[in-house]
Amino acid sequence: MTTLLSLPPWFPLHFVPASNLVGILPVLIVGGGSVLVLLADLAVPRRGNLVLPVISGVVVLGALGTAVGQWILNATNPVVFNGAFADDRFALFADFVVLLTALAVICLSPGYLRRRGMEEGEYYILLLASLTGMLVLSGATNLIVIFLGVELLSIPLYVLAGFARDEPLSQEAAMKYLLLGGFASGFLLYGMALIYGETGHTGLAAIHQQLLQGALSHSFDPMLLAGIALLSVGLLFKVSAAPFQWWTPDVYQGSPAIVTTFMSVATKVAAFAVFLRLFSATLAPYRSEWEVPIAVVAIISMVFGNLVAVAQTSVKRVLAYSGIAQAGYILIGVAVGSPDGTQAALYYLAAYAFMNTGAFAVLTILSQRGEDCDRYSQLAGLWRRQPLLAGLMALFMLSLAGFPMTVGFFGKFFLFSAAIHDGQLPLAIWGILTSAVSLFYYLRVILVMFTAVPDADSDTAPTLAGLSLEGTAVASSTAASVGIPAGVVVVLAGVGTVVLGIFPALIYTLLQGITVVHG
Amino acid sequence: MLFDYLPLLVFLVMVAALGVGLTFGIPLLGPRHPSTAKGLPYECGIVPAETARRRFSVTFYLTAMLFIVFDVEAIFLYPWAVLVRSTLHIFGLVEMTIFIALLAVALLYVWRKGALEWD
Repeated sequence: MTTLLSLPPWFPLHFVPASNLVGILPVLIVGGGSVLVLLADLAVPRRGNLVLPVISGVVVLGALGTAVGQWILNATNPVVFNGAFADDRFALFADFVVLLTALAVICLSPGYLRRRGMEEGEYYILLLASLTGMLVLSGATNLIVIFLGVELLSIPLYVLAGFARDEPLSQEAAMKYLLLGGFASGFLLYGMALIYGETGHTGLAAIHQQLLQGALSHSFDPMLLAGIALLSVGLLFKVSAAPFQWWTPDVYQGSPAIVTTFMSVATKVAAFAVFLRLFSATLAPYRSEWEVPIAVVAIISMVFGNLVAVAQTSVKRVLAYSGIAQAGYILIGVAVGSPDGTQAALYYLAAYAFMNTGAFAVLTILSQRGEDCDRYSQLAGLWRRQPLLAGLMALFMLSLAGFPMTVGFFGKFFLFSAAIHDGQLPLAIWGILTSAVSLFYYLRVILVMFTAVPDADSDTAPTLAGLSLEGTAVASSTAASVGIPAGVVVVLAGVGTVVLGIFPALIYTLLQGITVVHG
Repeated sequence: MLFDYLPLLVFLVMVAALGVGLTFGIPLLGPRHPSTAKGLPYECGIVPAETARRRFSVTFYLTAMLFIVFDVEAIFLYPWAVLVRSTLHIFGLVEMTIFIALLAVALLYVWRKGALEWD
């Protein structure tokens, strides 16, 4: 890489080898883009213009292009900054998923923010800042860089969760997320301190070496195990796995739908990237110690998420509990620990990005002035008003449930088969059983959309009352507010869900060569 | 391995002993001559004018927050200024320029958003 950019000797960057900066180029682009959007917001203070989303979109596209370039040019030693950051294909794959999600969210944002009356420039600044943290996290190979990424990811999200400033639920979501998130950061940091105290290193590669020596001499240190446990708690909080999920339903429900879209998909992908890197590479020598706890957490998440989702009356809460259950499925891939498991988890993350972004995007589009689309009654009879949206929503629900011919089916298939190959049959059985339970609440959403006719008694939304008579009028007004970019995003998510469900090899071949580097 | 942490334990015991000793030792050993002036809340030496439990403008909160943000970040300038000529050279200059530029952007943002206006 250095030959690509040979700098003149007087140029100060030779103190930081240029290959380092090339390695973190996506992070630099998105971070710099965040500052650029901030300046643009000051220069063009008029509300509701398209300058900020366009700049944000171009920035994310640029980062995406750079990541693709890094994937193609993939250097033999993709570790930069003395082993503190890796731009290996594992990180780049996570980057792709996160960046594509961010691009989808940016396309959905202008219309949604206009309808909800929240057109503040800070939204895009915070979005890009949080995205920077996610890109840092996916490549982090040093405990301190991991913590930096987690905080950079979280702090803008705390603000975004409360972005609907005059809605009490949104305020509550922001407050809960901030307090519990700060608490989880404490766990994370304390775990890191204990690991550092025992191994004397913060770099993952050096910690790995220390653990190998410990594993060889069979001297498992309780303090090190406590450190690993606390670190896991901090990360399990971020991926919202049970029993560390208590914040998830309230925050997902209270936050504006567009923020929930970003939060539920991108945060989970970035946090799972670092989780996979830590457990499948760095902590592999201690696998006999962490395998069972992680598997137990996976089972609790699957059972809890799927069972509690059945009892929900809010669509956003259903998707929140579904997200907890999905975290449980992905944790199977972590617990399995083999390269198969890692690839299956990565595949599921990509699948999750398609179907969950799609599902939340439909809610985003249906959200009208004053409140998000959140109650079942607001979805009732959607098939008559918006056949395309209803069809796509049904597709995303089927995919989340794991129906064949959708991307969700192969996601689950790869995870369960990895578990079976690794001899962890109970994990696969629990996964299949809970998937069957999940059908109930996913199908209920579909049932409401296709059969129920909204009745005036249970529904307070004026736009839906008497729909059977004025259905066409409502449909046309809704269709006008969807907007082209948002429509394209939902349709593309739907196309991706089906195409990848029929040709899973499109992504799976990308994953074949991936090995996790840890500095 | 655990034995390596003995100095830490000694340190913790000393900290606890110092705290407890000062808290309970001073009332026991020190002379006490209470007077009205000594009982007043300390306000930089000025005689307190009125109760502290009154309402004040929320703008103070914003000003204080901005002060903390910029004040803490300015602290980085001092160690940098000591080292820039001897060790950091032009690399340090570039790094600090980027840092100051980001601070300037933040200041510009605060300014344009009207956070520096009192009303």
